[in-house]
Parts: sequence; C-alpha cells; structure tokens
Amino acid sequence: MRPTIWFKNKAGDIWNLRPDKITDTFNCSFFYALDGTGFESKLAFARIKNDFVVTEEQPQQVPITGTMYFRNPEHLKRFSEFVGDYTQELQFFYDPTGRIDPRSQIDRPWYKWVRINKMTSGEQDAKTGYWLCKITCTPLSAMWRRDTTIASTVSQVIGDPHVYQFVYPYFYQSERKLYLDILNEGERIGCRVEIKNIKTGESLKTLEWVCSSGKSRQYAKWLEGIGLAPGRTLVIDSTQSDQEATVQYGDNTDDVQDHQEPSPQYINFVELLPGNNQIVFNLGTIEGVEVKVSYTEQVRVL
Amino acid sequence: MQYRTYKLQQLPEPYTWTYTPSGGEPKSFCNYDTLVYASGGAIASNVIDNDYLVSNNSTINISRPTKAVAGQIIALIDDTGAYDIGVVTSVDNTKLQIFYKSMLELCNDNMLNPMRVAINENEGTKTEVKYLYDAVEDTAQILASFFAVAATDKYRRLPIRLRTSGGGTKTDGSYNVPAIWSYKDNSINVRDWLVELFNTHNVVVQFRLIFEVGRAYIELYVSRNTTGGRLLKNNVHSMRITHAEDSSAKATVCMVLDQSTKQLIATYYLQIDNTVTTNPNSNTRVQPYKLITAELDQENDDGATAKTVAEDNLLYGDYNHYISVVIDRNSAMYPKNLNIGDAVLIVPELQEMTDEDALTDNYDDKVMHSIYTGRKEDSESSQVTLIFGKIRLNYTDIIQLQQHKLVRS
Repeated sequence: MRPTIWFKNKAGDIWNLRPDKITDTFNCSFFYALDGTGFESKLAFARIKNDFVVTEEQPQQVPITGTMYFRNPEHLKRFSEFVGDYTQELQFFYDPTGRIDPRSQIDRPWYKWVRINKMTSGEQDAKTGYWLCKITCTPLSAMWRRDTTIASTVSQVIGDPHVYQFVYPYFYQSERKLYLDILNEGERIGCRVEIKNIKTGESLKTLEWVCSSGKSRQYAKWLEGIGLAPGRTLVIDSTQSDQEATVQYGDNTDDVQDHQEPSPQYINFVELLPGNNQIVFNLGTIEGVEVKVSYTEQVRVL
Repeated sequence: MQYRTYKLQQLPEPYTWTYTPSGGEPKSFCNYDTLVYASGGAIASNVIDNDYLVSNNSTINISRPTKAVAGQIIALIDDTGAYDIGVVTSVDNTKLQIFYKSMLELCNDNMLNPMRVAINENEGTKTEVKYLYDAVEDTAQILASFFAVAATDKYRRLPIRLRTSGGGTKTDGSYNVPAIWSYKDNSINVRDWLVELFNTHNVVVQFRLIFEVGRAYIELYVSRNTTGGRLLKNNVHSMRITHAEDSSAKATVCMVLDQSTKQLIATYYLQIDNTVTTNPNSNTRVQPYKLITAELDQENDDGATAKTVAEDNLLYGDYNHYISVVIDRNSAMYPKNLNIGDAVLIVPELQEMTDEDALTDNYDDKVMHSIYTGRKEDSESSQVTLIFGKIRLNYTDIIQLQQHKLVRS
C-alpha cells in the first residue's frame, strides 16, 4: 500500500506528489523518501518521590522531508509557479491508505498547512536522468486536520419538559429546539457556530445552546437582554487561531464579546470532544433560524 | 506604525466655547491656540507603558532623526487610528528614540489652591470651588479654569474642550459623586490631585485629540464609570489572568474632628454594603480595624456634615488589588475599546460541567469586580498586559506611588 500525497495552494490548484507514472509531469512530480508525518512532543515533569507527573506538553513542529524528482528544469519552474514565491502557505495532504484521489470531491482527506523552507536545486542525477531536489516543509500545526460543516434549519417542538438527560437548562413545552449530532473522529477541537435569524420582523431573544458528549456538558449563552434582530447572524468561533464573537449585519461586523453570559459555568465557546457530540440549540418560539456548525477534525498521527 | 507630534500655535483670533455642566449654568472658556503638525515618521519598534497611577515612560524607536522636542504631544498611529497618545518627555536623535509619558503629564504642574482664591478672575480662576464639591463636574471646570480662561498665563494655556459623564445631582439634590476639598496648601499639583481623585473616588480624566477645520484641541473627558462595565472571561485562547495581590480596605474607621478646635465630632464605621454607621456594634462592620482621621469645617455652608466627611474617606477605597490580564493583541477577542477607568468584571476561571452539575445563578464569589488602570506592551511581542486595580507590584512603581502620597500629605 502506497500513500497518496499532494500539495494544494491557496488558489485551489493541486500538485500530485504520487503520480501514476513517474514520467508524468503535468501538475505532478514524484516525491520520494517521505518522512516527518508523525508527531513529537516535549514533556515537562514534576517529580513526586519516585513518580513523575506531566506538568506541560509542548507539541513540536516535525519537518516533513523528502526528495522531489523533476524531469527537467522547466518542470521545476512549473512547480515554483504553482507554489508562488515560496512565502505562500500550502496544504500538504496525506492519505496513508492511498485510496483517496487528490481530485475527489467526496472524500475528506487530512492535511497540514506547511511552508516550504528548504529546497535544494542540484544537478541532473546521472543514474535516473531526473533533477533530484531535497525538500523540507515546516508544518504550521502539529495536528492533521480536515474540515467539516453541518448545517440545519429544522427545529422540533418539544412537548414534554424535563425529558432530556442533562440537568439544565430545562426546556419547556412549545419551545423550539434544533439538534445537531456530530461525530468528531479527531481530538478535542474548536468549532464555528453561525446562527442566522431569517424570520422577518421578530428578534431572537437569548441564544442558548448546550453541547453534550458523554458526561460532559458545555453551556453557551449569548446576547441576553439584547437578542438577535432579523437578518443578523451571530458568529461564535472557538477555534484556537480564529477565535471570535461577532454579530454580522450584512457586510459589517460588531464586537459582542461583552454580551456573553458571565457565569463561570458557561464556557460560551463550545468545543467538540472526541466521539459523539450533540449540540442542542434552544430557539425559544421562533421558527426561522438557520444554524451552521463547521469544524476541523484534528489528529496527531494518521 | 507611524508617529506624529504636534505643537501649539497661536490662533489669529482666540475663540470662546461654553460648557454647560449637568444641571448648571453655561460657562464660557477661551482657547488661544491650536495644535499643528511638528514632526512624524515611521516607528521601528515601541514599548508602551500607559499607566494612570504611575508616571512611566513609553519608548519608540524611530528610523530617522526627528524634529520632535520635549513638551509636544505625540500620537502613535496604526491602521485603525490613534493607537496611543502622550506627551514627549525627551528625544535622543543619536539612538533614534523618543520617550513620552501619558497625557496626564500635561497636568504635572502646580496651580493655586482654588479654595484659597474662590472666585477671582484675576488669578485665572472662574470656578467657585466649594468645600463639598462635585468630583466630576467641578473637577472638569477647575481644569478648564486652569488651562483655558482669558487670564491664563500664555505659557500655560492649552486648547481644550470638556466632556463629562456620571456627575451632577440626584433627585434629592445631593451629588452623584460628592467629594470634600481637603487641600489647605496654597498650591497643589494638578496631576497628583487627579491621581488622588481616581484613587479615592474612581474619577478619571481621559484625553483625546480632536481635529476640526482650521483648529484642533484636546478633549478632556471627566467621568466615573464604575457601573455596568466590560466582561473579561478566561475563555479566550492564550489569555492569562493573574490575581497577584490583594489588600483589605484602606480604612474602616473614620474619626471626624473639628477643623479648628480638633475636638472629636463623631466616629464612623464602614459596613460591608459600602455604607457608614456610627454604631460600633454593627455586625456588618468591615474588618480589620484601620483608622483614618478627617477634619470637618463646621462653618461650611455646602451641606457637608460629619457623615459626608466620613463617607468621603471610607466609601471609595475599593479595587485595592493587582490583576494582570495577558492577551494576544491580534486576537479578535482583544478588548480594543477598553478605556482607563472602565469598570470590568473579571471571570478568572471556568467551571467544568458534567451531567450531574446543576447551573446556579449565584457566582459572585467566583468573579472579581475591578477597574482598568494600565497597559504594558512591547511591539516585539504580540502579548499585551492589561492591568486592573490600584495596587502596583513593580518596585519603582510602588516607590512612585508612595512618593506621591508623601507629597500630598
């Protein structure tokens, strides 16, 4: 079994690194001796008598290295044009099973954002006749990631109060609920919740949701006393690098971080735990609400 | 980021402006000058130490020699507008550095004790300072009288305008922010007085540069903003909240003496609901016993009583702590519009919840009420330290605070 690997630039173009034939040169070139797809962590310990307790874990950037085979200098030049000016970030996709085709629109392959920080440009190899270039990519994340979006506008009227497995908040009769079931196959990760009020003329009052996973409960409550006017979208993103809390008014945005529930029991930036997660949105009595949850699964090693 | 410095330039004709205090009569003041561009350029790096309580220098490293000189007003400008403003304290064109302090440095000058001169336009004062005064409205007018009346010395004039919030009177006629004017010296340092007013009454003066067609001025915004407030919750990635120091109330018992005879008039005790009582056996008294003495001018006709004086000394000694919040400047959750003096609610830790935990409404013991008093940052790092509370930990900061107190006493 041979893994498939490929680069994707920000324009969405693909450069296949494991073409069917080594002689193929159109948007592809052979990548040999792949290394650095695993992970490494630096651990700090505290010693308690004869035992050691991990006090800090620092994930390390493991460089992805290998050798690229170019048929001629023009082939290498085309790769440089694909990359841009080598200050651009690329997505490095890796499928260890080798089953996913780089151009597949259905599969969700894993990737890391990388920067190419070293590339040799030597002479033609006398044995193979190819130009062999050693390449080093520095990953911008220790995790392999893949994107997922789940959207729903379907809500249900709840008939019986107090029927759900979590203790609070109690959901009473005639309140509309919107359920999203998410299977997170990776590690704990943030997600982006977008709630749009598409009902004409009626504001959505307090926005509340709870994310259940096993015994864990994460509560969120936003805009209490202010509400969400028609046409507006509340965006709560708990992703590490893109954390935000805004209300979008068409093109403009407004900072709303003051309008979150202050109670320490409300995490407000809900994250998805490994395994099954169910997010239940309490939408009061309004039907016209569009909820979208998007997230990026992440794992350390594939 | 870039910098601009501005100097004063006399207008062809002075112009008068009026200020109407909350519930009072309009008063006229006069601006002789405007602010004009003096120098500017690119900033290579900067270290900002903007602290309302202590007078520390901020530093910018520039790329070319500058024509800026000490005393000019400096503005650091980024894509979003003025990032920081201050007063240039020194310029080193050899090392390509400009040092500046916060705008409060404009007030680092002595003024005649306004109580001494009462109403005396010849000495540059138009505001009658009362024994019991409005710590917001009267403070604003004292500042305007110091900088912008017809009789102000031409080397002390500043083009200013006023804006206030939180002052005025209640329906019963008492001030929203009452203060006792206890200074008896002939002169008083304006900056020291303002810092003390912040310490004792949470009244803050903020500065803003306003550019209009043909003229520019400095807007002084005098306010007390301790209701409501911003929320800083420890659910922002990379945020670190450190509650490093906490002290009890500065005073819990106030003995009020007669100003002339020094006889004890009454003893008041601070209670936990931030009121005072004369009952020493009240079971809501704040501990421990910390005595402060205060004098009452029994001949005042402003309505000040022994209780007013005791409240002035006991009620506002809050926020005696040091909380630092380190947050990434580039985070969308960075509180960009937080101003010095803003009240904040800080939630230092979140509670992990399970299906067995019930939500509760009462979480007062898990949050901290505080006040924003300073900011430290270095362009070399994206981490900004926001400082809350009235205590400082840095040794030189503590020395400065103690020195100011010595001067005031």
